[in-house]
Amino acid sequence: MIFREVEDRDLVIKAAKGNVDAFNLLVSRHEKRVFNYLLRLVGHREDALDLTQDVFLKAYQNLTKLSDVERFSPWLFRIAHNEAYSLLRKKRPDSAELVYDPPTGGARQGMYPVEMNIAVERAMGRLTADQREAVVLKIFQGFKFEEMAEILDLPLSTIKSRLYSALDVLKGALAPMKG
Amino acid sequence: MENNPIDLKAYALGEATPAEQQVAAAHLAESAEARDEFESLQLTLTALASVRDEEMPRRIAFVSDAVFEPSLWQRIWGSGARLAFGGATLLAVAITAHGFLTRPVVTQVGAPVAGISQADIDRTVYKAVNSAVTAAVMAVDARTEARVKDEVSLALVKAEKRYEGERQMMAVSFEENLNILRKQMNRMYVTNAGLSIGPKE
Repeated sequence: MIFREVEDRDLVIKAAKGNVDAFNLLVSRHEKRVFNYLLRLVGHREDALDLTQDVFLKAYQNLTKLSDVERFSPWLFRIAHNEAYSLLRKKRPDSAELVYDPPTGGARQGMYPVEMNIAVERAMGRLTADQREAVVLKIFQGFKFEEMAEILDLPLSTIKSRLYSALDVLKGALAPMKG
Repeated sequence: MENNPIDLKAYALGEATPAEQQVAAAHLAESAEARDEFESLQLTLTALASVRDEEMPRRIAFVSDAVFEPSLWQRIWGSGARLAFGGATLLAVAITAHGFLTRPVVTQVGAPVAGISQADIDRTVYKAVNSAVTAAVMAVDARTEARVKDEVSLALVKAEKRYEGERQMMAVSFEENLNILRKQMNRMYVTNAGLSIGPKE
């Protein structure tokens, strides 16, 4: 992970100087994470794919504005967050609460039974949009609290509050599975 | 955020500081209830972690792809030299357009009006030109005559002054010569008469 961060930093510096190959490598590294994050937010594969394309386009156009090259990943997800909510506001301008539509396209190839995945998706559907995004960023994407605060532009206390309340909901919803 | 100072969730999520980790570990060692809660939390996190990421239906376009190429406007703005060249080009176009749009109006002479012959026009033009030239020549003559008159008057004044001066010089010279002659005649008279000049001894 440490080597990965160092390499990302070098790639960002090179890409900011116009090295196209460096940015292409950054795209290859982060596109799947960004796509899955957006898929969790918007619940539609094609929309998530289009948004992912837009995110990397904006990242490329604004790479020179990135003040701290060490923070490329949170900065990229900040762009993704803004793009997702911009789309959702256009699609559902009157809805304050997003309707969760769990991804169903890909077959799960993990070591866990399919029922577990279905139960998790259902449990995620019980969360508010803010709680869900906190879980996605922390559990699925592995960001630190500080990075989440940077991505969502919120205080650390709000991040913890959303995540902890989400974990309480998920713990209750997934309780029957754990036995 | 939990009011409990022992943040088991942060501990489970790997966000606890070393000091908080020690406190949480000690708390878990002492409290069975805390251990149950922590175990439940870990199982939930394990269940969540079991969800795999979706594979992307297609790759994202790279920078070298056409979708990432900047627009013409972005390319122009992205380079000072290109912007300067563009500005110069725009200025050249503006100057050229100005030249075409504001050409001097050419006045075309129409056909002669019916009833007026070319000879009449020529005579009229000749008279007008002749009178204008005559007036101009007369004006020049008048100015020249006045200037000559002034010069002659000035020359006469100078000549009279010079003549008067010469006359006065001639009068003085004549008087002096006359005095000399008179003295010579007196000496001749004295000599011829045997008279002596001066006091007698």
